[in-house]
Amino acid sequence: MELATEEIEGGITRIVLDGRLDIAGAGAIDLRFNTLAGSRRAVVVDLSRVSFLASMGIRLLLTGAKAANSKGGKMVLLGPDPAVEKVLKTAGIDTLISIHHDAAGAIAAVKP
Amino acid sequence: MKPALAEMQHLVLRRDLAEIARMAAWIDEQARILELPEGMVFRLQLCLEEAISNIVRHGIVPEGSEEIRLSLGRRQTRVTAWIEDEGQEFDPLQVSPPEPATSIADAKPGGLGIHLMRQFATRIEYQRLGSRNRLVMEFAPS
Repeated sequence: MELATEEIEGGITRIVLDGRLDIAGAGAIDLRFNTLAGSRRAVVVDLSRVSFLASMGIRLLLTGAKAANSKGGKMVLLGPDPAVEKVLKTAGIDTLISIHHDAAGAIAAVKP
Repeated sequence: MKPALAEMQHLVLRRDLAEIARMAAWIDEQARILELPEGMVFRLQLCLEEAISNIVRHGIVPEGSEEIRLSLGRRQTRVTAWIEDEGQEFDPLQVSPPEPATSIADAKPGGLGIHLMRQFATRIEYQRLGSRNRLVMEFAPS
């Protein structure tokens, strides 16, 4: 599981996740991910390279969104593939963290 | 009469979360041999990760019962997974689904594994066989 960050326009951070967000993948990045999510005002989590998602990955995303929220920040999800999106929706995550399929929409949603 | 089950494959896991990566690789290999569709492999991987991680994290076991036995078999287009362990009796089908959270602040991470298994497997059955738990999950093409 790889995690890369990119600072984009208007103080927005894009976190790109790459790999399987399973129990091992989530465990490999949880500390870095939560630290980032809790220290940035606006975070777009790019899931387009995530090929698999299980409940520990959902826990990671939710914990990150809670960390961002508690500091007055905002986090959204970008570009999950259909199978990953189905897991997110089945878990009800889409009602808590918005899912976007275009970068412009995701950026507009988190813009401070 | 039901058509014959294609040869069953077995994997024995230790009660250790690190074993899930080995299981995932094994499922991918079985899926290739059985020529399973991609969508079904995703569902199998998801449900088996949730089932095994629940057993490892929450199972209460007598000493010396460290093994979890996983079997996979295909009958026509359907795949069945059997998971057996020697833990204390635990029927995941008796667990109520989590209450949906209304806000990020109220959301409690966790408790989703069984809910996901019930939604992504076509059929789930729990059996108590002597001192063993057996979970049977069946997957039809989506």
